[in-house]
Amino acid sequence: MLLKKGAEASLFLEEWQGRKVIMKRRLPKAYRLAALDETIRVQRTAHEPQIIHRAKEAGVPTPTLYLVDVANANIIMEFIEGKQVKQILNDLSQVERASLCRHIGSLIGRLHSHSIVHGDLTTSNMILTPQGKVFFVDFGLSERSSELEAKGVDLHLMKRALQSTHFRSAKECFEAVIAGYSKVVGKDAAEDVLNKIREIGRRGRYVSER
Amino acid sequence: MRVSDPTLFKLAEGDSKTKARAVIRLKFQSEDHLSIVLKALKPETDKQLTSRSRVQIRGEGKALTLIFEARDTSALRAVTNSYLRWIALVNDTWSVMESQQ
Amino acid sequence: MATRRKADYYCIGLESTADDFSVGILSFKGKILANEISVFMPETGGIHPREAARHHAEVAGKVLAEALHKAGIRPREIKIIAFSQGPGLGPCLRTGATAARALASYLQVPLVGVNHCVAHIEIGKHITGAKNPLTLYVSGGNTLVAAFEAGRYRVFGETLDIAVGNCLDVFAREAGLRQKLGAPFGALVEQLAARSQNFISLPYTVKGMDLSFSGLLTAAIELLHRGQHRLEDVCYSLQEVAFSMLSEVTERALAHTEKPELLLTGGVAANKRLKSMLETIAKEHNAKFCVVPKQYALDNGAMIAWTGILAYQHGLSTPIEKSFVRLKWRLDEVYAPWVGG
Repeated sequence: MLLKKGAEASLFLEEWQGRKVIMKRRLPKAYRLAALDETIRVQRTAHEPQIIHRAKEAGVPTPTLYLVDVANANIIMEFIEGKQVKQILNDLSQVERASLCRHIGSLIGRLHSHSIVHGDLTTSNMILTPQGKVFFVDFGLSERSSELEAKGVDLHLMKRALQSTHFRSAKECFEAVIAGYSKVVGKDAAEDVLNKIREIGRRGRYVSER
Repeated sequence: MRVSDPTLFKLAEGDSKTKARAVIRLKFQSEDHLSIVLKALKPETDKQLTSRSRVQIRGEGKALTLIFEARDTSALRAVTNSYLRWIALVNDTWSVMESQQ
Repeated sequence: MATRRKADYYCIGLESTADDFSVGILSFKGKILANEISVFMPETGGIHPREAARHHAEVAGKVLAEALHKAGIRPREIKIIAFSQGPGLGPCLRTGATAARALASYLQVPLVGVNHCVAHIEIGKHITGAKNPLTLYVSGGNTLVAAFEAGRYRVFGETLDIAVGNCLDVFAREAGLRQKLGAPFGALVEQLAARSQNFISLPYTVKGMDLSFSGLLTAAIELLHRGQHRLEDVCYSLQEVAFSMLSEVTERALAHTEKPELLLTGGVAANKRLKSMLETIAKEHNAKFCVVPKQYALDNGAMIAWTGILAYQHGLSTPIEKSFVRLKWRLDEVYAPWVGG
């Protein structure tokens, strides 16, 4: 059953060996040149499991992978029962929201401390389980990097996602994310990233000399 | 409407920070015309974009006084050019509208 | 109310964000009476803000006169003056703003400061009939994916460094191409690309819904200077990668927002390959594909006039003394009460 038809991949909910699983398929994109399309799909499919593995080492909950079929750009992984953070965030009380965002921030901090940038930090890529655990589920655009710029962009994306989807509480949410992040990476490192985020936000899309 | 030739009063007189200074006085043919020039330029002088230069603008009767202060002569030249060009632009706009009446 | 025909009112819109100076005249009912554009186009070299601003100041009177002549209206029928207040290049914006203030105080009518990006979207909606689109706006200065959500235009994706049009322009210059009126750099690259089918791999950088073109540009220039490939093949590959990136983020935003229409605007919207990619995506997502015709997709005064009218009709205007330009005025900071219910 098709759960989500994304731009990057499609997610299907399937039964596989008696388990409920997610089948993540990177289907060919008709708009893209076949050669480019194949490269992108194969690269991302091969790359994603490696990053998910590293994220687990960093202590960030991620789905268990059951099968990786690089040639067909297909990954079968554990289905995480729970709700997308996107669906519930606006309905939480202010205190609950801040606590959840702090927790998310600490998970991002763990990723960054292990040289992983997620590349697509949005609240729809985070699942809150009934046990209160937060799973990061989509590492399709992730990369290994310990550069300040990459970390800054990563959190900038989180900020932007909050602004476009949770505009009413975006500010407090992002502040809580940073608080949780800061606890993990340390105050100084967090301040550096925060300055980077400010710089990215200020960056002129306009260039005077072209 | 024509503008009388700009009269250059002072150039390159400096206090501690200002290395270059120029005063330009322009006479217009009517107070109406001057008031339009003033309205068009005033917001620009109220909000200075760089620390390289500062501009003050005043109108008295039919005369417009512009006082430019800049860090160096090249900054002075840039800022005076900008303002003179804008004044010419306002005059062009004025002429176009007058010809429509 | 009586149905006696009331004379229509008019708005003059001035656009001077970057390398174009333009005057548009629209009636309050939305009829476009004039849209005169004067392009500042150095044959080589990039645009220098001061030189562009000088061009604008020099041609402003002439362009205004032509627009008024074409529109055939009397000065007293002009109800408001609109101008592009930002975002854009400082000297260029300030020149347009100065002319707009002069006009408004000469005619003693209200001044309306307009956001350049919002204006692109509004004129696109007006011309194509789109009601609630996801917009991809691609030009030399801007690359963004935006849509109206909860009272504001929101930016879903944008470039993290240079605009896609800038990427193509700089590459064309490096390749020694010469642009001229009617054949800008982007069109030259497109023509060359159409003569190739040899794809060479280049870096593809999508981060969430945001994009980066500087790595792609650097790699394409290196490829060019290595001299092992035909220029046609590099142009082709550059276009394929850049437009695939744009298409991917547009598709993500379309899937996310579920908008019924996809609107393509900006100077790069003229590119046939980009159009065909986006059309494919729109079809797959059951969205109506709307492309803004060139004269209203490039920077133009008509879009400023139209957005000025919309804003003014909802009680917005800009006091002259507060009409300073806003160089980095973001789309999501714009109060747009005229959109939606």
